[in-house]
Amino acid sequence: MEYSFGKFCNSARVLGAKRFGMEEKMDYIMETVGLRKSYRGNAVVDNVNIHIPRGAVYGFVGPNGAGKSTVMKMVLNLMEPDAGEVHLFGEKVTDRSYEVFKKVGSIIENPYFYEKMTARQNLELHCEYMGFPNRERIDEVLQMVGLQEVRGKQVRHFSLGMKQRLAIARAVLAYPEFLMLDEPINALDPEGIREMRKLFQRLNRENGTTVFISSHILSEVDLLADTIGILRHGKLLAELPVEEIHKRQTEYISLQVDDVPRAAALLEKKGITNFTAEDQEFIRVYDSDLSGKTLSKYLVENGVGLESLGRRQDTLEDYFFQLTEEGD
Amino acid sequence: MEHLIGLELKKFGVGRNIMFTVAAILFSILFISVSLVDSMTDPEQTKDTFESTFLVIGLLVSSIFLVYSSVLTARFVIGEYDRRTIILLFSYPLNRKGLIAGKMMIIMVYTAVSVMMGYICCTGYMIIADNYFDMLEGTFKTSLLQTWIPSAVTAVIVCTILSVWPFIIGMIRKSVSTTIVSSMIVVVFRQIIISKNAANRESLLQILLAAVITFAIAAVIFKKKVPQLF
Repeated sequence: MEYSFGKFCNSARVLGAKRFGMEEKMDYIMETVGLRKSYRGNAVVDNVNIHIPRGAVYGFVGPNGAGKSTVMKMVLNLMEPDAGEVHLFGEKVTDRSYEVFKKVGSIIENPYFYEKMTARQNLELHCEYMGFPNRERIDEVLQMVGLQEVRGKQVRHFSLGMKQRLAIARAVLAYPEFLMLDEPINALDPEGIREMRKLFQRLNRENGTTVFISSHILSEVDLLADTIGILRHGKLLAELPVEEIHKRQTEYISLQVDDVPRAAALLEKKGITNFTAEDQEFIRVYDSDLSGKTLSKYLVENGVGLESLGRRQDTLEDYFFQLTEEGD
Repeated sequence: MEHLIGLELKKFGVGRNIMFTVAAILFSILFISVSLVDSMTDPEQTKDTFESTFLVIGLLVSSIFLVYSSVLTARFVIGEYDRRTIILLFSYPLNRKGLIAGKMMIIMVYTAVSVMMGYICCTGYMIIADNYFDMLEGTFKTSLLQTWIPSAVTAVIVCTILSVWPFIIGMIRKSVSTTIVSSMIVVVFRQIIISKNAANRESLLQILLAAVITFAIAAVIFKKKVPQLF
């Protein structure tokens, strides 16, 4: 993961501030206070308090239907909360807040366009609405997302992946200070995901753009974000720097064996009790002092077929499931 | 507001809509010509009068542009909700109600100008054609304009007011088809009332009352329905 000095400072500030109870003094580019939204009596967003420090890449994770898009719509004032407040750039968002959106680039729900217009015309229109005069920037962002060659093509002929790229180009066009991206990597191929990740990282590092990105693809958020918010059933289960998650994550030896019960019995016989059987094939041994070579030799000598062995660390996915299982 | 109207005009496609206006007026002229030639050549029919032809022009032009205004409302306003591009529009640093009001103003002005042009062109054509081919009963006198001008002005104002109704109905359900169907119902009712008796044309008081009711309901729609995405 690429880390800038600014990111490091921000992460450290979040950690430090939270530890010393000084959250209110932080420079949050976006903050929600007790945000709630219900549909027909069902709470889809329930008392959500998000804090996004200036310069952060905030990964907003949660399963489909967790309420991520609803929160993002309320931040953009596209939806009125039942209770709570949204603060953007230190100002409370009301139904009269318009000017503040000059500094925001966004993708909400799906990439929507005027389908009969070309890619370039759509971006020109965006410039008009944003009051952004620099038309040369259009070619620049089309180049960034790899759509320069099809700039004259009507958007209705684009694939979903191309539309997603164009939506990203539109979101970053007017040099936003705050970039809100709702599932921006949906429909992108692996190469596209990598390119867009690099783009967001570059914007954050070089322009200081604060990125608020929602996704249900945890591995991708792990690679990109420096702060994570985990949402489930409309509740924010955790909000913390990725570094802290990594610190909490323990190292383990992953064993792929042909007979898990036998391998487990052998481990216990050897006095190793800190392990878990993941499924029918894998065992995790949480003992950092243990040598992989010794372990493999011991198992093989006792008749356990060993397919693979590797030293690993818990991922964001592990943390997510641990947290959500606790919640359940 | 001017800035918002300017922005929306770019999407509106002024050239395309002027083309439609010209085509609709030419169609109206053709329709009137066929009707007049038919009554001239058919010995069983009597020639039309200036007054009856004025009425036909009024009904024809109003109907065409009222229905077309609903198509514009459906495409230009309701379509933004239908296609979900409203999410995009409402993410911009612009007054959202002003944005929709700007769109509606463009449609209302377009309807007013088109109905007015339709009246002028069709009536002008009728007078010129009668001068050369004696298509109508009697001869044209400038005194006829004393009844024509108020009825044309009334029609322009009424059509402009009625062009708001497809927006009102369409916004309630955020439905393109409802928008167009509602205008057709309005047109048919107006046709039936006026064609039964030309004296049923809207009076000044009725126009004022219709305007007050229409804009009051439109104001409620702006407050309640415009900010809602669905």
